[in-house]
Amino acid sequence: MKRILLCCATGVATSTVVHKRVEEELKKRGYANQFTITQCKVAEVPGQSPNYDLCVSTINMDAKNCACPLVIATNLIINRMTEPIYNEIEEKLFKSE
Amino acid sequence: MSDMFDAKIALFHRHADSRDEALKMLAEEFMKSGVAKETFFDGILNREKVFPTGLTLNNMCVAIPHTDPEHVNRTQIGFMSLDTPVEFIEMGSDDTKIQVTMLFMLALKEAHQQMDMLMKLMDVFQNDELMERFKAVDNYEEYMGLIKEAGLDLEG
Repeated sequence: MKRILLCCATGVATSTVVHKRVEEELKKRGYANQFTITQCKVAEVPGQSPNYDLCVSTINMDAKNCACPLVIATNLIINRMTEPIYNEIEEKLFKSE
Repeated sequence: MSDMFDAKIALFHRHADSRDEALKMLAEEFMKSGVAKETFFDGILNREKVFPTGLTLNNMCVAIPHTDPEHVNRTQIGFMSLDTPVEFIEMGSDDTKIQVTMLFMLALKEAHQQMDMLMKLMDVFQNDELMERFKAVDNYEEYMGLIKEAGLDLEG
């Protein structure tokens, strides 16, 4: 089971939107039941990220503050140019071993 | 679970000299109606400074100001259109300035609860024709008509 940490500034708004999009896209790509998604605030990432396989952030953040691989996914909020972001998520989560 | 629009927070064709003034005008409606706490405006402003909420759509720019649930009493959406744009920073950037003509301010009490509505709202942002009509609307009845047409009047 892969663990995804999904963060935004407050942990309630844009991460909620992107949570749903990532979940649906990964299911579509055949990874149903192979991942879990947890939402948090960006301020919690340094503490939380060691326990996760991937962090997806809806806002810009410094990779130095994240102990696991990081994908910046701002474009997923309004569903714009999403393909490269989904590919990067899939790559870092399922094809990196 | 209650309606996310029942506090009737909607301001049409207003003028603000700055982002902060626009945020204040709209945030005060949330605080006056009791939907949000007295700390809501400060929360909105602080968040906007650190993590901006401007979004560039196909034909216009909007903002979705929101803040931590601790400043919120119950989930609600407020709207404001501006006749002259104010400058916001684009979400996800540090310094990309955009000219915003509509604010969809969100008072969110907790995660997940409003997921369907937020997804719908982002879909509406991609609907150029509907967004033009939001920009033109000048009364509450017509505004709620658009909200319903957009499918945003979901149970919270």
